[in-house]
Amino acid sequence: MIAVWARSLKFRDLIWQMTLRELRGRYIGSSMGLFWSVIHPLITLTVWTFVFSYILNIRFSAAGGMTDFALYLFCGMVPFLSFQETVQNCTVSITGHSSLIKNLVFASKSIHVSIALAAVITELIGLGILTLALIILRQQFPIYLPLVLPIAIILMFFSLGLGFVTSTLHVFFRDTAQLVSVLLMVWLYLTPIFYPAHVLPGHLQFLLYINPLAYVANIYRSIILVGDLPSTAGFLIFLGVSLGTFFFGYKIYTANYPKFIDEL
Amino acid sequence: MIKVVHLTKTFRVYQRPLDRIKEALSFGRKSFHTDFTALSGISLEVNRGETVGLIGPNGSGKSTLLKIMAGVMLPTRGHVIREGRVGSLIELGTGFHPEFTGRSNVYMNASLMGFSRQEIESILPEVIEFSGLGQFIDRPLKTYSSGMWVRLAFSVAISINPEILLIDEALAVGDMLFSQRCIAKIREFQSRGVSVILVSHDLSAVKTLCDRAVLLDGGRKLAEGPPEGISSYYISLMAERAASENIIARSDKAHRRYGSYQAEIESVELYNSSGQRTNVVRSGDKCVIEVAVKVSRELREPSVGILIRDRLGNEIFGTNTYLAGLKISQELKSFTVRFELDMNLGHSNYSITAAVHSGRDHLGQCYDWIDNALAFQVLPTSPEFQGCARLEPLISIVPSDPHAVVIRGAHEAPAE
Repeated sequence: MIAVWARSLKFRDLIWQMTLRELRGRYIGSSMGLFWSVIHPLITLTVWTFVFSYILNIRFSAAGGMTDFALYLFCGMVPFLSFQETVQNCTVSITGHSSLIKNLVFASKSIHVSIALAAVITELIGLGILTLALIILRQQFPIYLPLVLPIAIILMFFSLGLGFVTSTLHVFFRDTAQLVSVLLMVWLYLTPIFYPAHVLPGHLQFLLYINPLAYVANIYRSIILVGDLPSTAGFLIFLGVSLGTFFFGYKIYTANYPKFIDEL
Repeated sequence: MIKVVHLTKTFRVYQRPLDRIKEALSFGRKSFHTDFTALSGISLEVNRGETVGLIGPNGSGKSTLLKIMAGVMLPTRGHVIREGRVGSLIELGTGFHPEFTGRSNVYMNASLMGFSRQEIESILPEVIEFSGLGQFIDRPLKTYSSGMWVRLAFSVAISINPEILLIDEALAVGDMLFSQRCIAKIREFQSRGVSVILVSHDLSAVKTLCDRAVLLDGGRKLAEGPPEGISSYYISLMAERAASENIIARSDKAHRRYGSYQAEIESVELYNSSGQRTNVVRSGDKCVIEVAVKVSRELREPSVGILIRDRLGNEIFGTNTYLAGLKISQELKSFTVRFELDMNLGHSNYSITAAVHSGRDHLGQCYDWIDNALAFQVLPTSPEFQGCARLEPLISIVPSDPHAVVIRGAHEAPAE
């Protein structure tokens, strides 16, 4: 763990350069640039509020109020999108940067880390908008909001772990990217994001316990919308699973890295 | 110092992506790939301050060897010993993004090479200076000409002050002025004791820059020694290969052929001064181009001609039997026309187009016309010159003082 961090620190300039490029590259040439990454979630939340609360008038019995479904949805969506973005972008990162891998001796894992950091930054922007919406619509400030930060960072390790595995697989089997995007879609619908967890039928409730994203969506909601703190036991399990996934992915990646160049 | 010992590199080749999955699922019980050996048993040592050129035909393993030396690729067997910081000009401008400014790309490129932010800031003025880009450094890369792009990439690459420098054909790009600058920079590195390994198809570059040359062929080291000797060996090897290939393949779409075929061109061949069939000759060599013709029906005033074009398709020289005042007898049904000439062309690639037609040119009645029937290369000989025409001037220096001695120098190749 310490060794991995020490190495990351050594490459921090490179990682930071790549993260900036990852973020700026999306909007380069547009006049508003990075401002677009604020506009996107802002419009999404506005549209959801309009459609779900105003047109469809969906409410949950658990939590009343006009704007709740949109906030509920957004709150679960923000971490999932960060996870999805990291895994999806990592999957194609090695094949997409093949000229770097083929021509340079460098810390290729910086690519994954920069992708994950860019996703976390995007997530923070989303959280900022969510906070703004809460203040405007509910006149309340989520005081426990800073507590989602460690959750977001731990989720980043989980996403990175999977990203290391999928990017390795994609070098050898180019069907991986397609498979990953399909699986992520299925994953999204099996996670209680569009619906509350308790509506899942009894025999499917186990899905909540094997899905870290279900835990994350739930924790985000209770911290931001309700103001409840996560339980220590649940948090420790999540931490363990995420770090375990990270190291597993890291090992798979480093073990296979020497073979990459022959395949690119 | 860099040393490689008994390097072998094999690649696994799968016919279809599915084969790889099958192999992975069989857990080593079955094999669905074929092995391709790119390098076998290569050993090479390059000492401090020494420059070694790697030459060989395409696919001989030069680039693979360079990549293993750089540490980008791992060998299947054998090992590499490096003493000192390795700089590689394998592919210039790796990671360049056209939408970002030159400055931003320098930051990115240098960070990829392992520079910290402070280091980049300290080399930045030098990089901008060497690239000669000036104001353009803050404009997006997409507004650069390809020459400016290369200049920037090269400037970053050399700024790392390597102790071992690996160069792959990088000198072939860019304009002449820039090539000269690169060569000057390499000489500076040589004088500082940097070990340089140069992969090139440009034999004259290998001869001028290298202390030693290594000839690779089919992944094996064929020869190692002084650049002059190894280059000649390479040329003769290539000439031998060319001779064994059939020059006119009718099915080949690269040749454009038309005509009434009342007479057909059977072959077009190029022979060097020692009478060997070849497609590599030296500038100024006495050569023979032979066009063999077979007549099937009666022709009116037949004439056989050749046309030499440069690699851009510009016509360099053309002649035919009509223009030479030769008459081909109607009775001849099968014959060869020999064009004996001094290949007074510059160092480049050329092609020969051959035709049989009636009278002065093919515009009237054309019996057979084969576009680019034969491609050949002209290699430089000393004294070198610019351009495609070897004019062999007599050059003299005449002092303004009429009583001084006139110094003359003939522009002739020394006896070999």
